[in-house]
Amino acid sequence: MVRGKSPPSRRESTVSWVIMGTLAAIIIGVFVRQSHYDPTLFVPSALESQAPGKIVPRSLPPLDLGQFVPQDMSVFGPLESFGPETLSDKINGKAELYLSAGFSNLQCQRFASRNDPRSWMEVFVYDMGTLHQAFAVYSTQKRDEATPLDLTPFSYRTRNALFWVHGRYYVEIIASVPSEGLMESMVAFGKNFVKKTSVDAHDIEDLALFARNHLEEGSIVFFVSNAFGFSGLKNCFTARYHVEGEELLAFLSKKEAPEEAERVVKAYHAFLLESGGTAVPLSTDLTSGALVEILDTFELIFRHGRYVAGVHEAPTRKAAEKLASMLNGHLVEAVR
Amino acid sequence: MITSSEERSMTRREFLIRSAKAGACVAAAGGLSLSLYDSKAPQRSQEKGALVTLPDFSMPARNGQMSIVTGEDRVKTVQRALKTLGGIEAFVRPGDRVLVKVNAAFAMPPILSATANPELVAEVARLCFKAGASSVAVTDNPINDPASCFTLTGIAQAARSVGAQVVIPRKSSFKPTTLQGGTLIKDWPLFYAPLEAVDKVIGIAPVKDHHRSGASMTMKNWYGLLGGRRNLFHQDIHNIIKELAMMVSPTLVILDGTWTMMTNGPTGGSLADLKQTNTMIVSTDQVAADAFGATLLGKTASDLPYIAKAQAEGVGQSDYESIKPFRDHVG
Repeated sequence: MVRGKSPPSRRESTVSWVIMGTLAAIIIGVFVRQSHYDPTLFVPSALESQAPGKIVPRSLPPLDLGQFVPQDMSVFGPLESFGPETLSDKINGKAELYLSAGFSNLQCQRFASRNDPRSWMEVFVYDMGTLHQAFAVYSTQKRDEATPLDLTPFSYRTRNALFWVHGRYYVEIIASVPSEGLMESMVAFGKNFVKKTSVDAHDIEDLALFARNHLEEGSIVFFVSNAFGFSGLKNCFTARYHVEGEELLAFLSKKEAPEEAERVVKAYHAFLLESGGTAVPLSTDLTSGALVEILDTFELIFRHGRYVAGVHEAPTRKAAEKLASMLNGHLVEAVR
Repeated sequence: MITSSEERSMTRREFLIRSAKAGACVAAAGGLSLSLYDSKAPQRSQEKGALVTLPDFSMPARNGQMSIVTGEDRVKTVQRALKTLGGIEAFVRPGDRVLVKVNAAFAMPPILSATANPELVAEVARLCFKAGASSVAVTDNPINDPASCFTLTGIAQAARSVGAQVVIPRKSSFKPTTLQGGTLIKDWPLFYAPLEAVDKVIGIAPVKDHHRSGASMTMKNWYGLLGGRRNLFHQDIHNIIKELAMMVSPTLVILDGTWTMMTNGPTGGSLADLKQTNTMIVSTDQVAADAFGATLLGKTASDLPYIAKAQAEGVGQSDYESIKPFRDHVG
């Protein structure tokens, strides 16, 4: 027979408190220990498994870069693979640029000339997940001295390097020396890559929404997020124009619905005013637009349907309004 | 309160049910613990050891000196810059063991100026030997594979060609350090082995744009002395550069602005990222050197927050004109 629901004896209470105290001490100990995690002593297992050639989640299967190499080149180093957690191990401080644009995986490998081993190239294949994201890192890094190529709609070369977008891939080939012979091999690699790598999309239709008149060729840049330092302006294209002797930057961003576009216009307008801008009346017929003078420049933003558009840091009000009218006119024609 | 009159007997059935419930609780707790148990402990990246602290490699009598020499030829400009400061002999004494900390971060060819120029490294090492150095070691803990970095940048061959030793980092090369007054460098692995038995430290870095910090120059060059998952510090880049500058008091820093990486740093990749700026800076004040280096990038010291932060900690002087730098040109 056992007693039930009897008051605990002093000994039972003491034992209970000792047990509870011990458990509390263990919990505190675990928290203290974890708050003093020592990153110098351990290598996270996830990083250890990030060995060359391994597949990173969300990315496509690894490419065999050797299949694209022309016959006058041979393998000069192992295939390396980097995911979001390890990208900085390869490109250090530039990793943030790719990560913020949706980076998925990087594969890279060096190949050397069979005739001259000192002439080598390193191929970087960035899987950016989508064509737009690949175009974002391509366009934001585009060199002023770029010479266009006919490899893909988005491709160029400099004296020692080749850069292009093919679907979700952004590819760089960097040569150890500027040499025409090596450049021919690099272009051959590029052609093989484009021919043998199937992708879903090649063209970005939104680029046609920019008016062609006065547009600087190849100047369109895509920002996945945080355009002009404003977190609310995402998926935004910019393009350089030359109007009345002034260099101007137009922008365009497609939203899901007109209501969302309207919200972004209002939010950006408020952001400009909070940042020290002054509202200026518009003299054009952009009824949905707003003009702000800020830091001796003019910022014009308007909406057409589900598109947010405008002119960034125009040196004069007149130039800003002229380009905005041009953009709006083209948008009206293009988005019917 | 339960009185004795409320006591009642527990039946065998109740006892068994309670026992079963208690057993289930114990089994559940045990099962949960087992599911969370990691039978394979994380691998230690290094043995925990006593904290180390870097000695001061600077020469107090030489503090606040800087020389700016323009010219295309790195060998000539660094020679002239050192000469204006009293020659390398003013810094390296016979028998000194010298460590040259280069920027060999990437396995990239020297023409891209993403790393220290091999000719410059060789010349500095040669001058150290000429001044009587008993040994010269060239080192870095690169971002990419160390052997590839030292080979493809040309630094290894250049250093060895003048008798300098190239020190490649190994696991055993690192010891934990804590920066007094620092908030980031705490119990962090330091590439200590090459610094352990040297008398003088010279930093050599190119002038580069940097996506996170705005610039990579002499202070950022000490990043290559850190081990572990140091990329975590990119989230607080200006403070880590400040702390690195607080941690390392070099004998000299050499900032190579012969070609400046103006865009797409720190890796660059295209010759189009470079601009020929034909300037060599040699200084005992790393803050002053970087403040001047900022101008080669078309920036000012105020554009690079870590410069003011380092100055506030007493590391050096951002107003480089106030230390009256020597200026010269070699054709």
